[in-house]
Amino acid sequence: MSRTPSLDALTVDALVRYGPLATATPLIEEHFDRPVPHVALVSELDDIRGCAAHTAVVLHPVLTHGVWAVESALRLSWERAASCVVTPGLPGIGESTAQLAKRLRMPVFVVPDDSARCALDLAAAVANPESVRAKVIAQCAMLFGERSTARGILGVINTEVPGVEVALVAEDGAVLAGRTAAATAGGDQVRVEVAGPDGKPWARMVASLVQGGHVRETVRSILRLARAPLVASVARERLEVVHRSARAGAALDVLLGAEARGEQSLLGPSGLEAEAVTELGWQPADLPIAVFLRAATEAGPDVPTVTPGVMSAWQQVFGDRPLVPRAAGWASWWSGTSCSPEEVRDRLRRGLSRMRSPIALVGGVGTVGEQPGSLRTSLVQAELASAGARGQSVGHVELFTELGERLVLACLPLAELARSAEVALAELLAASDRETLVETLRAVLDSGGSTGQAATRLRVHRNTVLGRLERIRGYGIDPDSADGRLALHLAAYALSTHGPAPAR
Amino acid sequence: MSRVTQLTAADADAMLLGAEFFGASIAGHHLEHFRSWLREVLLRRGPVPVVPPAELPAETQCAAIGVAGSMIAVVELPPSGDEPQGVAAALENQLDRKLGAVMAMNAATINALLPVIAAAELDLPIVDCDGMGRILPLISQTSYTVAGLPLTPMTATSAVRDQMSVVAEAQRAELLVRAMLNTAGGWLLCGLYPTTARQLVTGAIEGSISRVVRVGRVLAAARDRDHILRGLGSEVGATWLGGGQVVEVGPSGKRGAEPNQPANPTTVVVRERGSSGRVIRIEAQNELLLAVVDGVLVTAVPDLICLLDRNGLRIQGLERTNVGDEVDVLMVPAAPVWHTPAGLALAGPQAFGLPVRHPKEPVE
Amino acid sequence: MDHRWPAGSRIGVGMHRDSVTAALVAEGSQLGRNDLPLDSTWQELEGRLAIQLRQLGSRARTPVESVAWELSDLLTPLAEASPVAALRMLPRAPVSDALAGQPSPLLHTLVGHRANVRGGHDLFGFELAPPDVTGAVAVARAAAEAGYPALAITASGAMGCPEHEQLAAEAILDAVPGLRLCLSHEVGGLGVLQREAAAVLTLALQPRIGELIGACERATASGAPAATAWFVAGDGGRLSAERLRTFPASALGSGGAAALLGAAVLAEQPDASVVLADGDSYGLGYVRSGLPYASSDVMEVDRMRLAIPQAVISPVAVPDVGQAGVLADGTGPALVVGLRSDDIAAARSFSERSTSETRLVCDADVVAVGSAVTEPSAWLDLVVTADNPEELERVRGTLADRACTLLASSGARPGTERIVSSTVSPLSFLRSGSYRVVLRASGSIGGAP
Repeated sequence: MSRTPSLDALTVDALVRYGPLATATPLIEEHFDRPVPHVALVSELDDIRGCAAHTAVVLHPVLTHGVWAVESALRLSWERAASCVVTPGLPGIGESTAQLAKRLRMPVFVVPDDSARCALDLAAAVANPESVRAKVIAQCAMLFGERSTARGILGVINTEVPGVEVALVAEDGAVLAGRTAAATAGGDQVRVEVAGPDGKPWARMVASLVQGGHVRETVRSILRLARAPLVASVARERLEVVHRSARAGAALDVLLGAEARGEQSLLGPSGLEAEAVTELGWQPADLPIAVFLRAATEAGPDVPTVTPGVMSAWQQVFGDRPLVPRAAGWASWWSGTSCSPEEVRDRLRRGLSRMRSPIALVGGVGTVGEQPGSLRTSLVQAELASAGARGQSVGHVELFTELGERLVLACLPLAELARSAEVALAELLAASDRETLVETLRAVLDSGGSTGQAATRLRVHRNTVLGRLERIRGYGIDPDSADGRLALHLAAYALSTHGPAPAR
Repeated sequence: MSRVTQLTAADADAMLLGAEFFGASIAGHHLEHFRSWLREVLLRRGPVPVVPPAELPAETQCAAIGVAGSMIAVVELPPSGDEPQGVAAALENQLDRKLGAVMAMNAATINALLPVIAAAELDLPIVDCDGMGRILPLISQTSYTVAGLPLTPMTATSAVRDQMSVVAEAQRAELLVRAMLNTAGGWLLCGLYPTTARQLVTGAIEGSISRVVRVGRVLAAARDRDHILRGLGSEVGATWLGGGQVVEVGPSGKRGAEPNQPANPTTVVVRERGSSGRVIRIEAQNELLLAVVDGVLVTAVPDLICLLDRNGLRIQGLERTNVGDEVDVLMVPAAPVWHTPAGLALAGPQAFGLPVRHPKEPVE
Repeated sequence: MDHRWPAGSRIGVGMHRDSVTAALVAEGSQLGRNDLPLDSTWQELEGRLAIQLRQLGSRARTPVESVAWELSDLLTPLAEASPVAALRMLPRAPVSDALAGQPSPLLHTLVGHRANVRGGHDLFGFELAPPDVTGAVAVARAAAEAGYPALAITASGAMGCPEHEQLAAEAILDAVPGLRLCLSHEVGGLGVLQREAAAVLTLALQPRIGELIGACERATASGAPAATAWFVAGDGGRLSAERLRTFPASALGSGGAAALLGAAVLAEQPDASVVLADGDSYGLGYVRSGLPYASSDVMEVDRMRLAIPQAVISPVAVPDVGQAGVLADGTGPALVVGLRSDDIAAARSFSERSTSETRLVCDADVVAVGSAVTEPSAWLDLVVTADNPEELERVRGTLADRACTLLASSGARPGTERIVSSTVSPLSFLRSGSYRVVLRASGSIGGAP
């Protein structure tokens, strides 16, 4: 018998999925990537000392007097660089043994019945790896038919094919599905090109292999089998998102229209509205709290273009909660009977930080609707609040009730204002510390001209503020001029939220 | 090592603590009334001389006194107080010879105290020796047996004051005693291993009574864990195997009860803290038999394995060990006689049905 | 595991020797507290306690559902309890004085009159000697004539078979009506001396606890009419007035248990290690999923171990060099609290000197807060025999049902019972298949958790 593992040897994982270890209970789910060229049935602890490296050590029932004996065998197997240990079931084998297995990085399997029988089956499988591989391919082909998404299809390969990690990589190198590690790992890889629904090159599947040899061919066959279902799934996904968002948008329009006409009667919605309600997953009895998402910056792709990406990112975080595309962004709502706007804000904030949206988003939250089903006011508020959230950090969520006077500012085209302020205050903005000066100007104006308050807010000494004001005046700007103060205040506000990049 | 030459009432506290230490597996039964009993007897009868076997006249008739059975049974059915002298008198009758000294079957738990009480009541010295240096489950698992000394004639008395005498080979005597225990209330006080001082010079584990007192003094004076660990290290060569939280206590494997072994196999798992925390597994059946650290057998019976309760700073018995306890695991090497081939055959792991070599046993 | 403290409004009252603190707690938050000096007669105090409860109750959002009283401080010193008589039923009477009495000086004081008669079983309920019922009656008569109002009866093996204790009790009640009896199997535990000690304490504390409970019940009825009066037990559970009247020793040590819970509530850590400063010593206990870590036989009264469940509080030294591992058990910083308000300085001092990470919780009366969140508990501690693992599981299942029934009968809402811990230890050197089973069950008086 060869003493080095053959490249073609089955891995522990293959024996678990398609071999005799399928009925065994693993104590740990790690280190399954090891090849198993040898099997040994041991009936005395000392027998383990004679095992070759990479052996699957099977403990005979006569050896397993207690958990201590299993753990001793585990340790000896580790010293012999065994691939795994198989033991008959024994009361007391549990967490502590698993902990030791983890520390020694040694897979341990508990077989319910006769471990000697398992040793025979293992020996047979190890001697004839091809039959195991054929089972792998057949299993994958069957499962591909049951999966409808790219994630699902790649998931089949990642979970079913031992020792292989696969990713779906777009033309530009972005990983669309599967395991990122597969795309970046060096070493032995198998690549299969995938065309898009339009027949043009679209992406490729990249599989990284723990071992090569005959496994390469098995993996290539499986990837080819995956190609057709993958293309179908992509087409389906794109269509579905577009269709769903269009239907939801229409439904919301119907509802808001009905509400505006005051038709939300005590009898509840009927006809067209009832259909819309079903479409949106609406609970008519709810007092809704609307939320509104929009792009964090004004310039950017328009809503319909990014809707599929935003919606799929939303679904990953918020599941089935509706998200409806509107002109300026996307609307959704929570039930105000079960939570407060503050709680909604916190949930949204946490969700946005986890969402992998194609564009950076901010959000706004409205107040609780005044009567069951009245979404309209809350939605307007949320939209305004989300505008107010712009200029804050990415992922910021603003409450309408906390917007205050900034409500007005939220409606101003700040980006445009900032552009005109850049022209009007060009001299000031040429200064190397222009950011400091703009901040100081804003702080003084925010404080109604009080340099003391401004100093507190900026956390500097009042003399510093006075000094900076002198320099600002030096650029021909007079913060005390009653005529210019409003324009100047707006300009400072616009610049501090939408200003140009800092000077180098 | 300092030798103790006599025991007085003032030694009762140290005797109790030391006795509990060497009864590691069953420590934790509060034996306050035994302390009171010992103190009362020593006050009334005066100090008991502690004499090494070699310092006694060679032909002095000696015999061991010790309880066979369960500590819980003793606690549930306490002795009346005249059993030690009663069983000794019965043995003298059986032998038709007066005893000249009393020795311990095993100087651990109440079996360290009862021979002292017997010696005090009979006005005899106690021999500074015992046959186990710890607790072992069978009355035949002694250095006396290793040396070929006969276990019988023996006499026994129960809490109901049943009197029995047995003349048989050691193995048979063992089985007969087990059978009697079931109807005698769970324990029997025995007078056994009648022998001479000459035989004890080679056949006994010497210094055991002194050792109990010395360890007891360490434990009585200890204020913290480090103090205890250092003291036990210097007095009895105890080594620290590890420590942490008990994460598992339960039945061990399917190892059936050996026909001649009472009670059931148990396993105790102590996990050290931290991600690299070692797993210390202790296998027990009445006694703590093996310590396996991360799968490596580090020590085995007849070496003494004990659990020190980190919070209460007391030795903690198996029955009182629960998941969540914080313990240190200590090992005290057994007397040299136990590491000989004959000693290991009688009280090594294989004698407990564990198919494993003692770490000190040479590989064939 | 997510733990939720009880939702309803509850009041906990810590009765210290010179003051009373009451705290209103709902959903794990303290909504109010107030203090009273304990300097007046009980009659006056009752009225003031009622006012105190009413004031607190007015701050609650929902009607106060229970008032839990923590009385352990008022039960000590135990030596002031009323002496009683004790009778042992053993196959053979002790001949040594040391074995005849109790080794603890305290219990020695509390037993004014003692005698032995024949009787008793072994651990498994096998009769060792026939019961001397006539002798038992004579002992009871003599005790009553000597002026002792109560008699503790302890037979060996009563946990395996209580028959001898029961036979003696029946005959005694016929012959000496009015003599209060406590049978050792009712208090439970292994060990004749241990059980006797528990039975003696039970009888000795009954007169005093009776007065205290009456006062607490009346104050509750007048100050919080919608609430039931409960009493904190040493394991951090709660008992009905009736049960505590019968088994007053159950309340010993309840202050420590309540303090552990209170610290956990105030720190919002349902799993925590807690260091208690109590006078000039420090104790370490643990709270797990909102229950104090407790054991069925750790209670020590004057070095005598009793089979009465109690929270495990072990001594801990400062600075805790070498004990870092003991304090840091993966549940966050160890909480440090003072048992009473004048222990807070000592708690702070521990926290400052400790080598482990600690968190000082000093802004409230932890005993009162902890008392409020206690829940009913029940314990079983028995020796059983089972020949194989399946049988053992069956026995364990039966005992678990029994513990839950016990719990329901002590006031837990049906459906809230759960087994908190269940340990089975094989007994050494007894016949194979002998196990000690200890079960702890806990329930809730409020809605399902």
